Amino acid sequence: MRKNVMKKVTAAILAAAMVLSLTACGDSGKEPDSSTDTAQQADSADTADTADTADQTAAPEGEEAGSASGMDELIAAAQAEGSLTVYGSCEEAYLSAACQKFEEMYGIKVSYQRLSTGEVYTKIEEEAGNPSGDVWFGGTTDPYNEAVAAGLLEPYAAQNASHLIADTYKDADGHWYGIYKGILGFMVNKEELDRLGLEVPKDWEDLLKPEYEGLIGMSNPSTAGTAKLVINTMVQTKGHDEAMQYFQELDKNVYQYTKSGSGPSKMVGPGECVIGIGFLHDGITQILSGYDNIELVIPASGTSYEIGATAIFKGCKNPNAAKLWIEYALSPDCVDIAKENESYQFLVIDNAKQPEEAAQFGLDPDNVIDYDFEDAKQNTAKYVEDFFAAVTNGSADSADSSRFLTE
Amino acid sequence: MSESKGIRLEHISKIYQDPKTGKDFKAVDDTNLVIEPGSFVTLLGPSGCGKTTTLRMIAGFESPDEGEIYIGDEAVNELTPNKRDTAMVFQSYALFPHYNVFDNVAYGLKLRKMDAETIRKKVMKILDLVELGGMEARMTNQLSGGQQQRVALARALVVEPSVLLFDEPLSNLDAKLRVSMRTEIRNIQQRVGITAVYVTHDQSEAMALSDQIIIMNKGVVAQIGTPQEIYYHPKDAFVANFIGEANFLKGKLESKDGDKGVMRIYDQNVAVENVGELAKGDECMLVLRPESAVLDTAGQLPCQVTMSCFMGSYQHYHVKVGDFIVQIMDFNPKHKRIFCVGESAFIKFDACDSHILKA
Amino acid sequence: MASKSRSAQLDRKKLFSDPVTVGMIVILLIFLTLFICYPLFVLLIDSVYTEGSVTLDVFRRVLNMQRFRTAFGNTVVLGFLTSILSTLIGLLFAYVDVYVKVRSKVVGRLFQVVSLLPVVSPPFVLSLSTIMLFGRSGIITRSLLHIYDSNVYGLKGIVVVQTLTFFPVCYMMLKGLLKNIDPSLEEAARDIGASRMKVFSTVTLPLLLPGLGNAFLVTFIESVADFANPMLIGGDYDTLATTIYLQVTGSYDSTGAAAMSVVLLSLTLILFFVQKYYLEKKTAATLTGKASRARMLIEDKSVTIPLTIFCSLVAAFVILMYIMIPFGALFKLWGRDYSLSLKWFEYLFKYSGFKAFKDSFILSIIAAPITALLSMVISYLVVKKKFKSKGFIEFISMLAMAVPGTVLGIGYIRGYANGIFHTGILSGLYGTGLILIIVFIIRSLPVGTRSGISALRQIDKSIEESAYNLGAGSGKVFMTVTLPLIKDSFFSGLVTSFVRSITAISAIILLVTPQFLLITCQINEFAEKGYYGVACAYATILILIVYFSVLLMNLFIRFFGTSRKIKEEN
Repeated sequence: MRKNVMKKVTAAILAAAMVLSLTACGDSGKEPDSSTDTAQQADSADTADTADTADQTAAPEGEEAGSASGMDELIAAAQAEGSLTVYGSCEEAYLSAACQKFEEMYGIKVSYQRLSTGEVYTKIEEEAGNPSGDVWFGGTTDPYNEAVAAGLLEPYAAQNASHLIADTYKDADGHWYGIYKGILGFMVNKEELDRLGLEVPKDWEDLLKPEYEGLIGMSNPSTAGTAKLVINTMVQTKGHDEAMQYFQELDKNVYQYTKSGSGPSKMVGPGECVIGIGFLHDGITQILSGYDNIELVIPASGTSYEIGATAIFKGCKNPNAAKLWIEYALSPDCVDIAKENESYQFLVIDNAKQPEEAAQFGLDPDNVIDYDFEDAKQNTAKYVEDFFAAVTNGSADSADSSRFLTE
Repeated sequence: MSESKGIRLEHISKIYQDPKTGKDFKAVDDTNLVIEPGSFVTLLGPSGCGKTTTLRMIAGFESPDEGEIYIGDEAVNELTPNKRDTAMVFQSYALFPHYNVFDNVAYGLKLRKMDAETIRKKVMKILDLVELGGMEARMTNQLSGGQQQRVALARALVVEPSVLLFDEPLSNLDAKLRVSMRTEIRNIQQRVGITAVYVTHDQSEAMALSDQIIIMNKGVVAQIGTPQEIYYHPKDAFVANFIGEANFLKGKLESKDGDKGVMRIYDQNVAVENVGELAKGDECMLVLRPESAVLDTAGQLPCQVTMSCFMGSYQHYHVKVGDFIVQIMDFNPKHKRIFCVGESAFIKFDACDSHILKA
Repeated sequence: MASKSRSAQLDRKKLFSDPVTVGMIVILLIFLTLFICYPLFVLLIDSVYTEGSVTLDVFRRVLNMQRFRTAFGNTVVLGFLTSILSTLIGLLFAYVDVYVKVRSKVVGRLFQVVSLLPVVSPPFVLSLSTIMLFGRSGIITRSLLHIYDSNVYGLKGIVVVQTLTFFPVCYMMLKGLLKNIDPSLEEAARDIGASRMKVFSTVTLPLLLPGLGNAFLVTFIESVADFANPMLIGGDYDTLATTIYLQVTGSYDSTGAAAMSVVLLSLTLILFFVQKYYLEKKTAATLTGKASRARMLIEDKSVTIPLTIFCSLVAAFVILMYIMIPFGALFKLWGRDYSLSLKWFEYLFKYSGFKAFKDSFILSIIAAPITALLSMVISYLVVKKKFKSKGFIEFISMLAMAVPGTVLGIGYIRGYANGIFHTGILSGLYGTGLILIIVFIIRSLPVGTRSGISALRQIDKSIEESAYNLGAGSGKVFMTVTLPLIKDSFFSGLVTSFVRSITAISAIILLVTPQFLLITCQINEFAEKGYYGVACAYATILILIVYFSVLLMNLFIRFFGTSRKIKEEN
């Protein structure tokens, strides 16, 4: 059955490529719509399905002469492998949708699991060259960089990387590629603040005010990449020692350190915590799901951003399918469905459609500090250690000496 | 029916570890037995004498530490129970509670891969033999104890083993049923002519059933013989005491003439028989069954009555001879003189009813 | 003097002439060694063997970690509190059940439900509903009482949740013991003039003491090994089980985690040894007899009313916690909009929900019969057969009870991710469904084996002997006689292991790979991130699955169980 489909697909791809070379190539504005249509039509008619599939996959490469055949070979090789395993550190809904679409587009069976970046890292490291997954999808780049340093990722020169809006959004050697960007900020429960008669915090320093005691939710740097980014941001804007002093102070106001990076954003709406530190696009998700009591805050003195990345694990079992995934992840096919699945981050490829929702809430993708990714790459592990030292020291005299690790 | 086979035990010993002290003790100690084909043999003894262990070694549930067991001419030490041609009837009946009577009896036949019709015929036949015809559809818990035991017997018989083993099969039944069942077992065994080894601690059961009784004590065979031999000519005080009631009177053999002799007990010379291997001058014991002596105004031994009790079929006396208390059952006392407590009397018995053991 | 060895030799010969038994023993030995001993051994190796030499450096490092020391202290404190409370409440329930005349039928039902809960309760459920009822955004605390700063996270939260989870186990254990106390003992004391309180403190309590100790230790082991509850409601209060998990996933320090696992394992093993080899025997020694007759129940209102009310309140509270779960799934928007909708169920099935149920269900349904059969085989061998490695098999299969799931999970990753001893042998196992099934089996084996052993001990040895004697080999005896006789136990083992498998979390959370999506991991994922609606929707369906399995088991036992006469088919 599968073999049959594959034959049809390759034949159709060749035919479609020929047709496309005659028509105007790469009307990228139209592309995403047609692809989502095909996904919906997927199981209607067999022949139409294969032709359409070929149409959309072949289209993006139409622009670059000569690469089309390379892409076709990759698709064929990937389909020969027949399956792909994805570890996702983005939101479950988006992960699920992205995987389903990949499966529909290429007929490659995708298994996936959502794990925090820390969990993925550990798994792959433990498996030492025999990874249980092929690609890593989503999550901030700090753990990706740690993985690069540990030699866990396989470099790949992606064709679609040419669409990236800047070189910041990829690893210099092609170990990982950025697919979206998220802005760090605060989410506050306005109703609660009103009830308590408190001001909305405007900047990082405001969070240290004693009246916010026990109201702040932050993620735990030992499991969440988000928290690592917070640490790096503080270190880069304040200097190392000042930053550690800051966290020691902040710890007094923190109600809980959650395991996952998006944890605080979800606790703000129901009132589980009042101020959450995290990515603002997670806040949008919450607001749109009905928590209209949430307000988003971009710290006045500047903030930093995460790059959500994707990468191939070294020694993976389906290398071609993994490469195809990278190409897919860097195409509108993949990134444009994020907003349909509750993920409103900014996209970083030039042919993608930015989510209107983000602009609606006044989020400006460019209002950020000049984040030093190189420093983050080198020193994150040390900073995290220092963070724990600072926080445990700071609270050693207060009653709860170990606030950490679980959510 | 397959040919019944004899059983031979050669120098069999079985050692257990006492769970409390951790010391080894011999449950069966260097036992030799020969059981003839077709005979009914009982292993009799108090609890803990090794009789059940011996039976279980024959069945194969236990392994001997020394010696060899033969069934027929085959050494069976290394055979598992399912490979030995024996069938056992258990004290607890051990019927399969999830099967009905028919399936219980048919179990062994099904294992032998017989066809359904043959099985049915054989089961019906054997159920008729144990007088359970028509009960084959009952569940076992709907049967009385006696019926259950008959199912167990049928289940063992139907596979036509060379040897039938009984492990105190009647001890869970009430007294009356026990008596009728033992007759039934004996009848069936004789009808099918199978070798049977029967373990019991009930001497009357052993007497009623057996061609031969093997008395065991502390892991050792104390005596082997027909019921009569064992009753009248016990080899030692243990056997004499264990089988029936016995009085023991200590004394010295004054003279000896073949199997006869004179024994001196409390300054009285008493003519005795069955002296055995004892020599003149040996310290010895007179074994006297209560029913083989009477009280009279004259007799061999003077005594003092300490208890006198009318029991219906006999007058029961306890009399004192020197330091010994002697029990006497005087049967059919209706026309005899009855002695009262405190009276002096004489114990009177036939010399041929006496039996002398080494002290 | 004959030596014991001769009969042993013959027994061995007989054993070896029986290929089924020998085969089973060999399979069991290999299975238990590979999947219980080896992973634990690997942990020990990992924690003392670095770069070609044996050192205690890792231990030294771990013991110097503030985080570890706190976690260790926390674990012990938590264990003590939970087990004392669970034992006390369990004792109270047992006492009321056995000694006090309860007139109301409703109360009787409540007790029944409570005794069933530990069997059917998936992990997280109580934590989840505690957060939803009493947390900062809790229905009771915030919406009803307008308390805005309640904090259920931390020690108090875990203690409450664990106590509610474990006290029914103590209740069932102590109920069995109390029933075995001969009422005449207490009546004798009453008769001499002791008051009821005096009787309880001088007769009942001393008789029960080893049993109480037993319940205490069993709860202690469970509490210390518990992963799901501290994970969800522990907040900053870390226990060893969660610290190990985070040491691996957060600090990427698996040798440190291995050393911590060894410490946690030693703790539970010591408790296990005391419990199994000291207290269990003592309990059996003081309470061997069966009650000679029915007990005169206490009717004194000053005793019955407060006790009944207290127990009913606790029971009602537990039930409320469970009722909260489906509501949590039906509320539209937690904390904002409490109107009911099926939105979260739709969400669940739109994304990976169906796959999660399918995967969990398939893996568990494969594991359950294997576990049930294996545990019956182990019980059969342990109770009815003698062979050299019998002690080993019994010990190891019981030992699995004392191994915390997290420790086992770490051992499996360390031991199998790259094949046995990193040689690549059996490396194909890792990441497959098979390894998950094996973990399920290992985790449920002790429970099944224990119930199998006690069921088999009640069966007269001679029933099997007679089958054996009639010519059946061991395999045949097992299949035609033993198994049918213990099929109640077999079937309850089947359902229990199914339930345990489908609700397992601690051991598999580190082992599961994307090929398989498990319900419990999903609940963990969503609950942890504050998606209570989805977490509750998953939990609701899980509870339903579990509940219906147990219902099915009870029906089966009622209609086909050994207690019922089997209808004649010929």
